[in-house]
Parts: sequence; C-alpha cells; structure tokens
Amino acid sequence: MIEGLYPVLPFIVGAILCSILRGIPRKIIALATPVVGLLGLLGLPDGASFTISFLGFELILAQVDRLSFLFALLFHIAGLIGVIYALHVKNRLEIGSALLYVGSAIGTVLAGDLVTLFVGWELLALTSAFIVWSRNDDRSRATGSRYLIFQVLSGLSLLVGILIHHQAGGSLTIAELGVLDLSSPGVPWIFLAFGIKAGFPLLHTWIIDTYPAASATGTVFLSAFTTKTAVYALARFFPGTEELILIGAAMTIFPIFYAVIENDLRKVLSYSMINQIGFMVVGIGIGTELAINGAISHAFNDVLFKGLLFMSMGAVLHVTGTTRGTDLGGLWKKMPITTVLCLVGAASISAVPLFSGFVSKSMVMAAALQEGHSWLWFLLLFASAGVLEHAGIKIPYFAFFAHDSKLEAKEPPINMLLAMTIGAALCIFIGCRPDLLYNLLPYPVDYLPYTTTHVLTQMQLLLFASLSVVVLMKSGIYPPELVRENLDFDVVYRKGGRILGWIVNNPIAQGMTALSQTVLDQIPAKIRQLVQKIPSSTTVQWQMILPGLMLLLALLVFLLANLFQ
Amino acid sequence: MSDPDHSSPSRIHWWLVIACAIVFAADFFYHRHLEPAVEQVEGIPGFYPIYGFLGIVLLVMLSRGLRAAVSRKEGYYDD
Repeated sequence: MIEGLYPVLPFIVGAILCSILRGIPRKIIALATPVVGLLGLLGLPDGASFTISFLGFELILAQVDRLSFLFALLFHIAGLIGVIYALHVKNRLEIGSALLYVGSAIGTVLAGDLVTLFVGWELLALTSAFIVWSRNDDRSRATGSRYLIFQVLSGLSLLVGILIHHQAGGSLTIAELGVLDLSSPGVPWIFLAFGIKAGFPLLHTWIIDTYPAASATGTVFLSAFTTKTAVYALARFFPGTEELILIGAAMTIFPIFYAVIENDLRKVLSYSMINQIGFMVVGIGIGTELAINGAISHAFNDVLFKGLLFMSMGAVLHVTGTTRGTDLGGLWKKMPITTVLCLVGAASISAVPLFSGFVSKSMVMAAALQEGHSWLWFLLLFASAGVLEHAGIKIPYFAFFAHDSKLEAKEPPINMLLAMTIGAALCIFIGCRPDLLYNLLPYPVDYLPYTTTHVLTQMQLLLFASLSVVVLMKSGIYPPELVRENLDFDVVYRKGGRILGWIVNNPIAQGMTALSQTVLDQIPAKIRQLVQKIPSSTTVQWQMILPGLMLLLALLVFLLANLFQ
Repeated sequence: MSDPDHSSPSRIHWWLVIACAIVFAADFFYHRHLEPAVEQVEGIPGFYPIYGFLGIVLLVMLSRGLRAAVSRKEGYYDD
C-alpha cells in the first residue's frame, strides 16, 4: 500500500500518459494505473482524508468507510480487468477516456461531500460519452449524444437538488447526512439524478440504447461503473426508502420480457443489467441489514459476472463483427475457451450453486420474506427464472450452440481471454468462498447460503425452468430470433424529440424568420425611407440613434403594460 | 448441438430430464426448511419445479404478446 496517495490521481496521470505514449510503454502504463490506484486505496485511513478548501467549501476528496471502500475496491478490480481486456486496442481516445472514467467512478464513491460527489458525477458522464464516441461510426456518434443528454440531465438534477438542499440548511458533508428523506427540500431532485443513472423504469432507455452501440471493449467499461455508482449512491443516501421496493420490483420484471424477444445479444445483456440492478434496488428499499448486504454483494458480483458476459459477447463481436442472434450460432467449435468462460458467467448470473450469484441474490429474497413482503418474493422468484432464460440459456445458446452459422471465427486475442479468465475465476471463487466477500460488507453477515434447502430449491427452480425452455423450443412456441427493432419507452423520447425538433424547425423557426424580417428588415427600411427625406448630413446619426430609440420605446411599452395590468 | 426447430431430444436433454426427476423426487424424501411468510405455498411438494416451469411458460407467452405489440422493422428510427 502507498500512504498519502489519492487513488484518483494515478488514473488522471495514466490517462494523460496513455494518450501520449504508444506501443508497449502505453500498455505498461495502462496496466500499472489501476494497480497503483489500488495501492493508494489500501493506504487511505478510515474516515476523511484529502480535505481541501475550494471557493469557500471544505471539500473531502476521500471518505473511507466499509461501503465506499468496497465499491472503490470493486472499481479498481473491474478497471484492471477492463484494461487487460482492452490492451490490444490502439484507439487512444478510448483507453484515455476509459482510465479517466474509472477514476471518476472511484472519485465519486470516495467523495466525502456533495460537491465532490457532483463533480465526480459529471466527470463520469463526460468521460463515458467519449468512450461511446470513440467507436467513431454513425450509430455510436448518435447514440453517444443521446447518452450524454441523459447523463447531463442526471447531473443537472443532482446540482439542483444539492443547491435546494443546501439552501434549506442541509449539510453538504456526507458523514453528517445519513439517510435522506424524500420529503425534505431538494431531495427528490437528488433521488431523480440517482434514478436516471441507475436506470429506473422509463429512465432506463439510455442503457439499452448505448451498451449495444459502443465498441466491444468500450461496453465492458461502461457496463461496470455508471449504474453501480448510482447503486452506491442509493445505498448511501436512500436505504429503507420504501418507494425503491416498487421501483426495483418493476426493474426486475419488465426487462425479462424484452430479453426474450431481443435479437442483439448485447442488448439482451443490457436488459439483463436493468433486471439485476432491480434486485439491488429492492434490497436497498427493504433497508434491513440483510437486505443492504444482499444488495451490495450482488452489485459486487454483478460487475464481475455481467462484465464477464459482456466480455464474452465482446469477444464474439471482435472476431465475427456481430452479436445478432440471427447471425450467430455454432461458435463453440471455433471458440471453445470463450464458450466455457461465457458459461461460467451464465451460471453465475443464474445463481447456480457454487457460482457467485447464488450467494448474493438470495440474501435480498430472504430479506423480502423476513420483512413479510410475500408478493415481492414471488415476483423475484419469477424474475430469477427469467434471468436463467435470457442470460443463462439464451446468450450462450444462440451465440455458441443452436444451428451452425458457418461464420469465420477463432479465439479472441490472448489479453481478452486472460481478462475473461480472471473474471470467471473470481465468479467461481466468490461462489465457493462467499465468506471473503461477506467480510467486506457494510454489516456483519448472519446468513448461510449453502443450506440443503437453498441448494435443492434453487436447483429445482433452475432445472425445471431449463426444461421448460427446452420444451417450448422443441414445440416451436419459443419466439424465434428476428431482425426487428423492439420499441421500448425510448420511442417517446426519440419520436418526441423529433416532434419537438420539427416544431422548432418549422412553425417556430418560420415565425421567428418572419418576425425578424419584419423587425430587422422591413421596419428599418421604412424608417430609412423616412429618414432619407431628412437632410443628408443628419442621416448617419439618425441611423445610429434610431435602434436605441426603438428599444427605449419597447421598454417603455413593456413597463407601462406591467404597471397597468 | 440441437436445432430448436427439428431434431429429436439429444443426450443432454435426457440428462436434463433425469436431473429434473431427481430434484423433483427429493421433495418427497427431504423435509425442506420452510419460510414462515410463504409456508403454505412453499410447503406444497413440487412447488419450486412447478413454479419454475410455469414461470417460463408464462414468460414466453407474454413475450410473444409483447413482440406483437412492439416489434417494428429494423431501422425504424432511421427514417
């Protein structure tokens, strides 16, 4: 460990160096960055450190407690895996933005005050938009802009919330804040800001829009940090907020239907991501120690197994150029290692015993029952079966098995395989030794995942759900993959945005043109005609004074109108 | 591997059926620990297998309905 090193600093330096250097030196710097950052994190003292005065604010750059440490640790691990996965990439914009992005996420979860949190929040938005844009094709350029609109709205909402909260006498120091109450001033804005980034229903569309559009390596970075930073923020400020139970439950349910009919496998994973965040949001909403532990440990595991699944689909994209279910199939013969690693991710997210999802998701469900939310438990159990269907079976089946697509394919570069292997090893390791993760959780863990009942019931659920999928496929009831665009709520934003654009371009723009012609061309022309009748020596001065006089007149009319209304 | 449209059950499908049969039968030999909140439903032998199986059937049926409602030609947003 290195004492006195702010963990974000190596990422800033690393990003600058990586955008200058080439070849081997850049690879070494890229790899060293998260490692040095991690050493800095391990050297941080508990509580506040790196306090600086800025514009009259006392900023606390690092505030270490169990919650922020766990997320910062997770982000360093995910950052290292991401860097290894992207080591072959020559795009300097992508690797530079990615390092800054990881640093922003770490800075945000370590923030000890709301101003620092806001700065991190905005940097997270900006740097990640550059990751999307760095793919540099038409789709990613358009998607990146839409993505940035959502992220900027989230930042704006957070800023408005913090300002109102502060004006009403609220503290800016996170350690003094505790749990925020939705009914206090400004807090709904803060909640909305977190909700946009966490992908609350109807605000989730940027996830399914962006993650299938970024590059193979870019999406691996994107999927790990933004939404999990929001989960951290919700766990920090809104544990036990009952509204989150309903919101989270909706998030676990609606994506599983879209995941069945979606053809792009990276879009399936994006829906899957909303579903998994739903489990975390439910846990935070329940708010008991068991539920919070479940939500946090599931966030930890999700970054690893969802990252692994996105990496395996990224590998498929890298070697075949597509992730569409209709184009893929039969790749297991050409990509056996990738297939096995993808299956580890699939087993982990499906919560198969001995894999990581099994030891975390069930904590949230057990907490739901302890608090008497039986309806919620039935819903989550249904959603769990849905996860198995789309992430456990559909992703590996349509990519690597099903009919042979005869696509040209081979194993991806060794660095990609290595990153996936590390991810897979961690998934299995946590699944087999959950106590090591449990020891890092915010509250002491009094939960045993490996009871005979839990293992048996989970296997019953998963095996019969698999049997059901097989029966439905054999009987032709299972909907086949189709090249289609499935409308989600983004139709409202995108079509609505176009209607707004049309209104601005047509009636409003035409009106403005007509108005400006009248005001700027026709009226001055008339006046000039009048003025030209006045002796020529005074013309120039008149032309200079007239607009001022007209403005004065307008002001006078405005004032009078206001006085006598 | 199997094609979803045509092929008889392959070996892996028989293994799946056997595994299902074993875990289903276990309900009649092993007394599961029941959660008080959902004891009456969870205690029914075969609850988890039936719930898992029918859950997927419901999921797939509703998804077909969803596809009918929201599916458009590719490039819908490009026009």
